[in-house]
Amino acid sequence: MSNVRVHRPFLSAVVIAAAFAAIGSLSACRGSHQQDANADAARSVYVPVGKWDKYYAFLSGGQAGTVLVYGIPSGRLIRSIPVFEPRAQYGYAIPGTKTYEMLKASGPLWGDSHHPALSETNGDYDGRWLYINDKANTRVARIDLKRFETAAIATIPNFQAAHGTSVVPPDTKYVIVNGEFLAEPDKSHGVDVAAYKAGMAFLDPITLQTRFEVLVPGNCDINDASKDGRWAFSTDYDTEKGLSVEDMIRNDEDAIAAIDIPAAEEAISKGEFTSMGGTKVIDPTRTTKKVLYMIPVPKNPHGCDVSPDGKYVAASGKLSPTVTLIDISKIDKVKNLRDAIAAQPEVGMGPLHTTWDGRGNAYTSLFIDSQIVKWNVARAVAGDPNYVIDRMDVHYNPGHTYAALGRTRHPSGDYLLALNKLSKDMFIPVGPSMPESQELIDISGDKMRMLLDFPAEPEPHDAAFIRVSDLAPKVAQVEQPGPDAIAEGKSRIEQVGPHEYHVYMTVIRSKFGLDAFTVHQGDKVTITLSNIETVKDMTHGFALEDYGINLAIDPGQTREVTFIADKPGTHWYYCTWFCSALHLEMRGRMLVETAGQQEAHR
Amino acid sequence: MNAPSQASCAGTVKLLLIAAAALLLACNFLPVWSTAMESPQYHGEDTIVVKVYPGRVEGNLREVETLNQYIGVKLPLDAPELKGMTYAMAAFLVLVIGAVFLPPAIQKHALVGIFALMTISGAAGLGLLQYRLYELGHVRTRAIIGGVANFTPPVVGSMHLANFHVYTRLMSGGWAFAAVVLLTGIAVYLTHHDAPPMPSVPGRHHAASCQ
Repeated sequence: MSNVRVHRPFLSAVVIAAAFAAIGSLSACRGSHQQDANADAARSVYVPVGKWDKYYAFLSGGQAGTVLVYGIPSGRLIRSIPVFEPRAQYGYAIPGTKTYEMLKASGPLWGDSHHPALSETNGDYDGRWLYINDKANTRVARIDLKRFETAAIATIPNFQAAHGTSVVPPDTKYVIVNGEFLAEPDKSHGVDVAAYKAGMAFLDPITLQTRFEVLVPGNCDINDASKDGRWAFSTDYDTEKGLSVEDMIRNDEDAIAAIDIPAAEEAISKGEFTSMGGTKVIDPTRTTKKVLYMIPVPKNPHGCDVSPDGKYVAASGKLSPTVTLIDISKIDKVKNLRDAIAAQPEVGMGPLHTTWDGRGNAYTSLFIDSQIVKWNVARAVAGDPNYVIDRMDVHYNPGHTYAALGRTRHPSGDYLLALNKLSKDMFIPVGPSMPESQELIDISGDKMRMLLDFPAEPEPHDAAFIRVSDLAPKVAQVEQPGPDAIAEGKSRIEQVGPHEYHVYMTVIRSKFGLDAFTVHQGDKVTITLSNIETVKDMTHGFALEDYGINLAIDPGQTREVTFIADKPGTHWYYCTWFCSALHLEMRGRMLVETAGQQEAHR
Repeated sequence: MNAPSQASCAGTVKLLLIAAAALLLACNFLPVWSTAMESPQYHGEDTIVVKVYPGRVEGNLREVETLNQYIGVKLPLDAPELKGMTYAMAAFLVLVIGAVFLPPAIQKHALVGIFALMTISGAAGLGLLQYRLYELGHVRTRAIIGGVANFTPPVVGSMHLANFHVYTRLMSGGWAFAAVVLLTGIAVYLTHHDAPPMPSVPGRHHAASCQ
């Protein structure tokens, strides 16, 4: 017994020590595995100095009214494209410029951009245009991807809140923009609730003129189109036509609105429309051929995404934990539209958007669960209970999620971006307003793999990727001078009216074409500047002291500003884009003479 | 046996001269010499390349001029020898074509003259180029940046200038002209080794001559 007494504590100590050692070893092992995983992730997203990313990622800038351009997989912010908000940095929409006139003519000098949509040819991105909506002011813009500049902005008549934005494949026949909020369709400032309407607008892809609109009962949220171009889809909530949260969620079901585009075109050709707000508006209850199909789905759906094979359109449930898969081929064939529903897999809490990898898998963002769930479409349709393949935590509350090229017929199935609405503790604190968090996930294997997070200023809603190899060769970096370009040695000032001057200046390192010019107080002055540089990245600025003017003139470009010279005295103009060792010396003077000074000169 | 050999030799000389004439014609459209300027900001497709053709200089001259505000070198873009090259090529073309039709007795002497003229012109051209390169780096009019001493780029070779590596080389037009001189030289050789008939020794003949 005495031996037992002696050995029991000893044995206990040995067992405890062994347990600690094992735990320590396991912990060290886990730490080592985590380090390996981190190193693998870092290697996957590392783009060596001087090398390019694989994708351009266009992220909507949200409340900034911009489009942000990131490189993927590095997550490097390459630039932002101002669209619905002036940006002096790029000389965009500064009063007195053409871009200002374009933006001002379309509405307020602010916008809320949500959904970037790339133009397509033969069902794939063609690298010509990027469309972006402005929810706040019911506008849409076309960005020229040759120059990464806003080329056109148009207001969509009759509706309020341009939300879902997509193009009609395969050749971008229309840009479809949803009018989300219920309002009087002719924008007559009316408050007659009974007259409130919403719907979908079909725009010319170049002019952005609204070719026609289709009224839809409810609030048109997110949209997409079938790969063959026949159908335009929109998730449609608030079919109750409620005006409060409680009323908007009263019913158990809302719908996916499916618009038969050829039938709508036929209705237009037959004159079955009402002219309103300068466009043709189809009331689908008054057409001889059925234009609108309302397919019931659980209430208040959100994401609306067509699978790359063109078979299904998916309505992500938002308030329902399901994604409703609708068999597109059955829409106009079934008597009861519920029979067009191919499957309604339960995927998790708060499904908002679904994207695709081209290998038969779907990825749905779960806002409430803060996850991306990967599930197999065929298994879900076949009723196989094992359709969920993987789940990955994201940080936090993802809105849109986008798999590379997931909206084309040929998703590349390598990267997925989760656009998270909250970043909470993910980045160093910068006051109470935190950046949004984007997370890049490797989806090339069975299991998803977290690669990278990167912040963005508020607030990207959605993304669209295009391969660098498909777009970069089309991007102009040095433009051929246009007919309005000022030739070298032709800088001058011309009096074009009794109180009006036109100044023509070339800009090149490290000199403005004129060292000084003189005008008179109150004169209308137009300054045209041509950048005659011939090498890339040699942008020059033109800032005019105390006049609130800054232009950015890229190589080969000509830019113009008009203003009233109402402030007398010497006003230096200088180059704002650091260009050369003589950058600080690159300036000149605008001399604004008062009436008294003019007299003195006489 | 001599008549066919002489005819064959004359034919060879004619072919050489026609080939030389064709190359001279091509010389007017080919770059004779070029310089490439590389730096961290100017590499790959952004390398600044300037090519000298007979009568003209091509390349990103605006960028050269722009950068030259720092160095202040004298760019010989309007040097008279540029036009001179065009005239020289035209003159050589006329002379070579003319030589094709000359009687052999005159042709052999004319070719010596043409060959000598071409050789001297070529050497003078290279010398003039080297002089212009010297002048470029030494007659500096408005140098505004320090740290760049006077310099002389080589006709063929490389050097470091400010933040640039400068590479110079003869281009296809230069090599074509060298080939013209060579072809003319061979023609001279052939016409001058067209020796009078020797006593016939079976199995022996001058392999390099036109017998």
